[in-house]
Amino acid sequence: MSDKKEFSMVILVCVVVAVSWFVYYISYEKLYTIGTVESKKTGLKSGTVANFTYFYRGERHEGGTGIGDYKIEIGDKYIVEFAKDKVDLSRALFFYPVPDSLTTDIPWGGWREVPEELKKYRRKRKEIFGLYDRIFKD
Amino acid sequence: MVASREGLNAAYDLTNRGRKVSYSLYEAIQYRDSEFMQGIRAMYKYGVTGSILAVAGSPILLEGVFQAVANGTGLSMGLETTWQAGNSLLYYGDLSQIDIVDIGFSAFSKYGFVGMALVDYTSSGNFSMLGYGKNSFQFGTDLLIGGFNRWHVGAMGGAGIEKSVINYFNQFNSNLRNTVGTGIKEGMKDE
Repeated sequence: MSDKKEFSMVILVCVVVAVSWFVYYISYEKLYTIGTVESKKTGLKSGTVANFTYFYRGERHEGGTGIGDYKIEIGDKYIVEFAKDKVDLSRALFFYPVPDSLTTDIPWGGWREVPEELKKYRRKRKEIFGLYDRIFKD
Repeated sequence: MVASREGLNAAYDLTNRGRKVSYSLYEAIQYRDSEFMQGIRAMYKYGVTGSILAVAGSPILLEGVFQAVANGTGLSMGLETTWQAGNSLLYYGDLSQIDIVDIGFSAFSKYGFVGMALVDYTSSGNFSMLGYGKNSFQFGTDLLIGGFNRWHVGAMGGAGIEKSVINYFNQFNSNLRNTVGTGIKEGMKDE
């Protein structure tokens, strides 16, 4: 395989993997709860992942999300988005931090959307090199 | 008849027509003085890690191993898996950080490192990519080390070293460099 062909093939595979992942992820109905960061890990040729725990219907679950450009500390709390029918499929929304001073009751079955009282703590999204909010304006 | 008249040694020489039928290790190595062995010596000369082991080992056995590993896609993926598992165990004591996408990209001989740097999907189900969970510094570290590895393969090839030898050592050395890269990223994440 020529250099040009191999390079194009690698980029194409990256696009296919990324699109497949996003289609898979958004295909599930989501619920929201609060999770706590327990550790940070970096793999070989990989980015750093923040591992967090969260509770749904009394059961403890674990998840991990790449931190990218966010400053994340162990013990920090964030809103966690997870799939209703596949509870272990989750990601921490690092742009929705939950202050320690805040006391809120989390429903047994999670929230259907991020509650208004937590939305006011929203910070700038740092995905796509900090351009996410400008591009999507959500 | 020769044996009875001239003795056993003369009969032995006549049977083999003056040639020796057994060789010392030194003679065997000289006999196997292929491009492959010249490559090993050149690597030793240029100070490539591990080459001293290859020189000390059996050249006949090693040549088979080298060529199989250097040319086998499945073996490349197997070695990548081993490195991923070793790195995860080394830093965290579990297998949660094995990057499955990297194992797939190891099948690409030249530009696989670009895909490895761009996209991550770990065995614990965490997906991230450049701009989405993976920042520019981490991408840059992985890309630079991968790029250096590729350049190094080219440079060694340019020095006249046989390709299968370079590829074999690169399977080890490139991942050693990436393991150091993991340590650099580990240090930076707490800044």
